[in-house]
Amino acid sequence: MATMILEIQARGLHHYQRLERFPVRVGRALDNDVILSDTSVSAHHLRLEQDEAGQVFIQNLSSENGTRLNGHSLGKEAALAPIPSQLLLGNRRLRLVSVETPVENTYMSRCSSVFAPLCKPRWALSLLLLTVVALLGNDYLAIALQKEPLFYVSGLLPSLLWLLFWALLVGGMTRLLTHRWDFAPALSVVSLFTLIPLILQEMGGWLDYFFTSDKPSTWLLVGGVDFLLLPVLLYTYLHWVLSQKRLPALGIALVLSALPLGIRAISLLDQVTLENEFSSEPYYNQTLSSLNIHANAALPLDEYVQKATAALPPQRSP
Amino acid sequence: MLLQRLLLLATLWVAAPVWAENTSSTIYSDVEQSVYQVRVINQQTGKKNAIGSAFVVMDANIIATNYHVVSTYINNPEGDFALDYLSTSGETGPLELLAVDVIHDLAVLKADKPLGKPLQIVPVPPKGARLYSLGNPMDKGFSIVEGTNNGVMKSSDDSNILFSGSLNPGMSGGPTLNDNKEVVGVNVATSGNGMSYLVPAEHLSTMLEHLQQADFKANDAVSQQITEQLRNHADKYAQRLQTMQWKIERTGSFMVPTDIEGTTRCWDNSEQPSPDDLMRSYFTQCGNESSIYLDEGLEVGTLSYEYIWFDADKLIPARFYRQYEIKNVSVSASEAGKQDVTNWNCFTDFTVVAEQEFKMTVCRRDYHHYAGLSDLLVTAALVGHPKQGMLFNLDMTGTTFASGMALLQRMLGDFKWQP
Repeated sequence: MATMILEIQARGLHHYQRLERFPVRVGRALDNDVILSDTSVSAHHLRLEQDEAGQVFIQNLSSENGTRLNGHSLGKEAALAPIPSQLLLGNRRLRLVSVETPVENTYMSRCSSVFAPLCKPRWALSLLLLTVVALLGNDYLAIALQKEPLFYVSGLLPSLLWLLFWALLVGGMTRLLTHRWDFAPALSVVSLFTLIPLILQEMGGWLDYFFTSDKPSTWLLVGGVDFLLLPVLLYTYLHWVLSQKRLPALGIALVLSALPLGIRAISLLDQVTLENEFSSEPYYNQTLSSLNIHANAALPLDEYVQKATAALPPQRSP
Repeated sequence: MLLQRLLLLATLWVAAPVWAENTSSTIYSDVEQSVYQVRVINQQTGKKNAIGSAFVVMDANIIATNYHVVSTYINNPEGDFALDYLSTSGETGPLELLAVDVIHDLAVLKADKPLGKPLQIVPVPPKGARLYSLGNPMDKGFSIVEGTNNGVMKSSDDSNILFSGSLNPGMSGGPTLNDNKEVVGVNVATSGNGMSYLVPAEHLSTMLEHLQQADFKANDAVSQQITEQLRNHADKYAQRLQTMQWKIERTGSFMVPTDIEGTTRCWDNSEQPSPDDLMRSYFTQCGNESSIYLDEGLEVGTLSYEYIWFDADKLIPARFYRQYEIKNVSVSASEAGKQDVTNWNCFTDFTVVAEQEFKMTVCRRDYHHYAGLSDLLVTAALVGHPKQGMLFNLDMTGTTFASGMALLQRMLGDFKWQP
């Protein structure tokens, strides 16, 4: 008789039952060979037998929730189970496999090179520090009044609390998946989520001024921050930190970002609609930069007036 | 405030000299036949939409009033509205619009029968002369208001007569007479507290002469006439401003054009600095303080410009430029809406003025119903100075684009960098 393995699928870790002596009885009652403490499983649910040739036959004993073998529901008579086979006892999934079934490659941490900051505590703290400095700097630049240092600290505290709250939330969710506390990656990802918009905003301002156009910041902020940042960070976290496969990671990232992205899409649509409406306020590139680096050279006034006149022809009334 | 006003009334009542009342009463009875109420009637409801006063002038069936009294009729050419008159004795009849002078807010109408004795037009009398203004205030009945001529206004460029007497809505278009019962001006506006304005009647004479040459035939294309008047006025006005002497004054490190004697005036609107401020700004605001009425909520011919100088020695450049950028916003004072104008179209680029670099934006929007007429909004920000900034904003309504740009060039040409 060949030894079989019964895989009992449970969230987190599967259980494997070595089946050496047949018949094997499976059910919730304590006199079974394999005991499943699942309330959808009957007291005496299943009986497995093996013939001389090593073929496994399955007999359903449950009259309550029944058994499905590879998707087909079983009657009272024994049925031949190919190896491997999927079993569904009530709501509990099992798999019947042979001992020779190969296992997946050993998982190795992908948190290396570029993604190292995501996992190493020292890097995570540096990212957090950078974010705090960026937030403080942003506040400092935005206010042109004499203020005590404590003023800026008190302004920073709410952001810091939010950061920690989200880091705890992400860390807690990760705990459910990996069964261990891994706070550093969560902190890194949340810090990046705060830091990247600040950097892109600053960059957008420079580029806008450089090109005398609002397009760079619009693309960076609307495209980059509003629509890409959340799914990309989620994907990065799921794939490189939680080592989910690419496709599932992408799927989960999209599902989790669907709601915020949907809301942003609606407001973007509103904005586009409004832009086509009449407005008594002119719309032009208002950016100013202390560095004063711009692509267009300053024109002599005459040339400027010529260009403006050419660029602003009479508008036809509807 | 209320007490003050009551006192003023009481004093007038007690102190009003007897001879004046006599003059007023003789004037009133003499010209009563020549003063009418003009009404704009909505044909759908048969009710009056707007009222004003008018007077017979030059010919027995010609009467004059303000453009703004009949503007509803002119701005709704689909035939929803009609014009008619009401005499002091209660007679009514239809009126035909002959011509308008939108710049001076005048309109000339024709009745289908003689209305009364035409009043004579004379030049503006000396300052201090007694004047008598007639009309139908608030539709309460024909009245006469006595006041003093304070001459043609010097400080503002709409050249109206300042009349110290209480004009009220409904009296618009009525005549203001001298002691000899001759028309000096046409009632046009008030800013309350006995500050009223009259259109010099000479402008009406010019109009009437043209009409007489055309044998008092109605101008078929009144709206086109208005457009032409506005365009001509805008071009002439801009040309006049360019040739005028502008006061050159300091704003920060710049010398810039400010007041034009008798045309524009500047005010300081700087905010008082608070002890915590790390930067200071100096705000000079100038304007021509006059406008041309076109329709309800639509006035053109305004010119305003402002200079804001920023000193930010105590700020690092990045911090200063955040504030500077926030202030780099310009809006038009015009209340024109979707029905009047197109959307703004803007052009932004860098230019050099007085050897200094500016990031300048010119915005233009055009009027739907007045071809060739535009609003122009210009804003220029001094760049390249880490701790100093200047914003120059220019807002012109109802100008022609070319004239506006020429005026802009003229103004920028006066800029001098003097640190």
